[in-house]
Amino acid sequence: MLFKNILGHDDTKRALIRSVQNNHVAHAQLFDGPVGGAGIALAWAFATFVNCEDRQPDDACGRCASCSKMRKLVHPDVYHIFPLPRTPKEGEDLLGELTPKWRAFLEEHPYRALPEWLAYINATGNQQGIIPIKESRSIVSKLSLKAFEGEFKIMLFWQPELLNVQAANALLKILEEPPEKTLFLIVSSQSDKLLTTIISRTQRVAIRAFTDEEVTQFLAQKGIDERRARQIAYLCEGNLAEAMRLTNETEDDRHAWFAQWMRKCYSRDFVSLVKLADEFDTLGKEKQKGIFDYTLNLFRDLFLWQNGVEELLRLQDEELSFVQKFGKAVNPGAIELLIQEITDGYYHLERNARAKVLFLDISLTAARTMRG
Amino acid sequence: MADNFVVSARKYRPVTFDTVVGQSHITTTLKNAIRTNHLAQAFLFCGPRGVGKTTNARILAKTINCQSLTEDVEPCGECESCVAFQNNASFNVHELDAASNNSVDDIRNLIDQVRYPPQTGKYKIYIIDEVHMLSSAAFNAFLKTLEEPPSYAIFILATTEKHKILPTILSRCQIFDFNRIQPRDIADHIEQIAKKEGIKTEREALELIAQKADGGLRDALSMFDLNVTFSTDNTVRYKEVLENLHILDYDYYFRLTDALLAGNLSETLLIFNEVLKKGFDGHLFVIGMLEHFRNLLVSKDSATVQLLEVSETAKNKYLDQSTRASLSFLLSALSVGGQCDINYKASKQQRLHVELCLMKMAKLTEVLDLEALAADEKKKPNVGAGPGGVPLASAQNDNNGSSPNAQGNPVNRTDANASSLPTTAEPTITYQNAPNGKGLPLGKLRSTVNLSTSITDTPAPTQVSKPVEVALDALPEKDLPVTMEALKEVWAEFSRMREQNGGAVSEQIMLNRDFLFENMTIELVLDNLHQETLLNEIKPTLLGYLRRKLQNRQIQLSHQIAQSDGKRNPYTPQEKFNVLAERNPALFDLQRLLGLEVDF
Repeated sequence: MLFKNILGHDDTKRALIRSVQNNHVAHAQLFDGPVGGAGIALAWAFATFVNCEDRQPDDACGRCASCSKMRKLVHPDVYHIFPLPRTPKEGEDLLGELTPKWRAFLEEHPYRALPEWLAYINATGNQQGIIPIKESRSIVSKLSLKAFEGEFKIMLFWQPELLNVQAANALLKILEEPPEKTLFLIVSSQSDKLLTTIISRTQRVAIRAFTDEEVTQFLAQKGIDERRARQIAYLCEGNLAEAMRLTNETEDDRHAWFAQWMRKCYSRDFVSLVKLADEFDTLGKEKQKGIFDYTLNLFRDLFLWQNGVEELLRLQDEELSFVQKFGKAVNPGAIELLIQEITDGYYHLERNARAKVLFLDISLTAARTMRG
Repeated sequence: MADNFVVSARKYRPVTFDTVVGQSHITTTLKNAIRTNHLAQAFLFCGPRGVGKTTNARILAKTINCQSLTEDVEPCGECESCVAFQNNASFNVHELDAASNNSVDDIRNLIDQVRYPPQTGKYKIYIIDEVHMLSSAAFNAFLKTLEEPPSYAIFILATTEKHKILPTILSRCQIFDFNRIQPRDIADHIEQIAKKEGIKTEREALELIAQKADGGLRDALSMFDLNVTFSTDNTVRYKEVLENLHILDYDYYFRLTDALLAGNLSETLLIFNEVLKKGFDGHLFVIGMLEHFRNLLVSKDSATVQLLEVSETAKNKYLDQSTRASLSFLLSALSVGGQCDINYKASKQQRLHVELCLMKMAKLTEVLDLEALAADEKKKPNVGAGPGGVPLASAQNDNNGSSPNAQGNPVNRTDANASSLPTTAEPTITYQNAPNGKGLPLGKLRSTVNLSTSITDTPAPTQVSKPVEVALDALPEKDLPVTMEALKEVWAEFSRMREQNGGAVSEQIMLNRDFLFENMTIELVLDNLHQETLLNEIKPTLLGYLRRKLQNRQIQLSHQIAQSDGKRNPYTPQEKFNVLAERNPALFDLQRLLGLEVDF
């Protein structure tokens, strides 16, 4: 992974490169950004750059021995720490066993989220991903070795928020005063869950989420047509892991569904609302949640439009005209109520409420309140 | 990359007591202890992260083993012991990481080592860092040694979490509580370091770092390093610090508050969007906004202005804005924002969640104005102040308290608030349940919202107490005769009144029944114990009411619980047996002779 392969984030890249050029690399850096952002990719690229034998002014060369090893993540001086599905048994090297999978996982594309990783290694239902104390100890012992061939030993550390209390505390001393030529690159998406004692030992590199344009661009590279890419960008809010998940979903027409639903609610066509609820019930759970997600997004746009903040709307074509027409018709107070209803509904849906009943209930509330 | 870059927190770790920042109460004590040779055998250093626990432990270790102390009790840095220590090669100072060596075996090893006296120097010092992670078995194994170690052994324990340490350990140690370091000290310290490193700084930038560090010097130095790394020309500027540390400039909050005060919703939404575009977290934004309101609230009163921990220019800005924001606005906005903060994580569309919150805040001024308007229309003398100074809660009460027919516009407004202003609306809800069933005459309670008894002297409290006085005073000197009809009428009246005031159904069942009236005593027959409790609760009210209405002090009320007339059906096997045996006594004989037990 080279810096140039990562979309956007030019400021961060420049700062990281400058830190190496000025010989000002802190030994522990916390790449802190949202889920599905560029954190791990940037850490990877940074590690490549640091150990590159022929550093270019604005990127690693990508050709030297170190870079080609880094491309496959098999550099002997780079250690990986990532969440395991369970605590390893006595004498078991679970981390070692899973490392090849981890490499393959990142090589697919580096913008990943924890659930994906757990699915990738076939973790069973209630395995949440943990970093046990054994891994902390192994860090300490691995770092007591000298670097094999590169200049730095690099510890690439993903999801430190999953460290349990013992493991996190066991890291404190080594994190504060590691042996010479050691770099901790810690990639976190929920830094507020880390111990303050860990945060205070690291330099925080803030990473923003991807913009809509960057997501669209990324999806276009993956060969997805523009309209669909824009739609996904609208839904995923800069989370590329989510964007990739959405591309694998079958193309569906949420907007048509939503528009139909709202029209029927507005015209108080109860007979077809009941039919619609039956139809809703037959959709898969993910799809049902998808519709609710979309509804919330669109309600937000309605809300913005009604409050006269049109420049914030990110919609186009038919969706925009829908919002404009619907926004005129619907009662502003109802929007707020419905948002609450749907948020609650989402919660209940996740906890296995009967979709048919839930949907009809929301529809009826909508029909009752919409016209004010 | 020639020499290694070492982060400032390590590079500039103090090596003498004098250079320790902001912990003079501890360094002086330690120095005195060394000078007078009053060293305890065990120390416990505790305090938040990055305030110098480990540093002080090391300095202490170095100082007490130094062979030629300087005049003011500092290590010389030249003798054999000091040099060995500086090279990390001292045989007498052992630093342990208790977090990774936390088992009881590790402690046993340690105890074994303690038995050997030092080969050079006077003391053997054990620094046990992160000591809160020791297992409880390890702690207990350590107790004896910690209490009575050999004369040459000294233990220094360091931790951020004192509460996790056994009390038996605590009582054996001399405890030193480290303070958070004051922002001013941090800023000064960084300035010195910057000078040594040849880095230009802006004072405001340093103060910002110091503030953000929240008392931890290491945090501050990490941030400082970060900013140096990110700067192109070795200068730390305020603007860049804001960006690098991901701090939202308070200007945003000033603009936001102005827009909110003007009720300009679209402007606030645009500001929020701008903030998000810059990559700030929505939740942090909400928290920052609440903090801003808090600062405004604090600057409203000249006595509390000193609680503001901001630079001089910012302070003036706060003072300026606080004159424009009314107290009621701030309180209500805080409560709306607090609610938003609580529900933020649970919300599915968090952005929308914040936007709705902003909308409520933007409408606040409007609502508050209406409140004041309504209050003025009522021409209540107490309300005079309007949105200028009276908190919303009391303004509401004035409206409610005025009279029961005040249910026009103002009450509707209050209802609208109930959804948007959770905390201010709360008291209005609770009052309805609270006085129910107490000795007060409930007939008046609907109209007397007496929440404000403790806050202001609205007319409400007097109204509450009046009927009681009436009940006492109005009792006539002479008792008038009481007829059954009159009594029944008054009784029914009382019952109706209770019903209107939301009395329980069971209460109605109890009241609406026939009773006997003899010798000035009402005899009531109740169905069950529950009714008896109910009756006892309202008895004083009821009697007071009857006596007053009928002008007779002699009326008494007695009751009894009716025996259940229906015959009790046998349920248990034993009961059934008894019933059968009564009919046919031979069964008893059968049971007795054969020694049978009831079981079917």
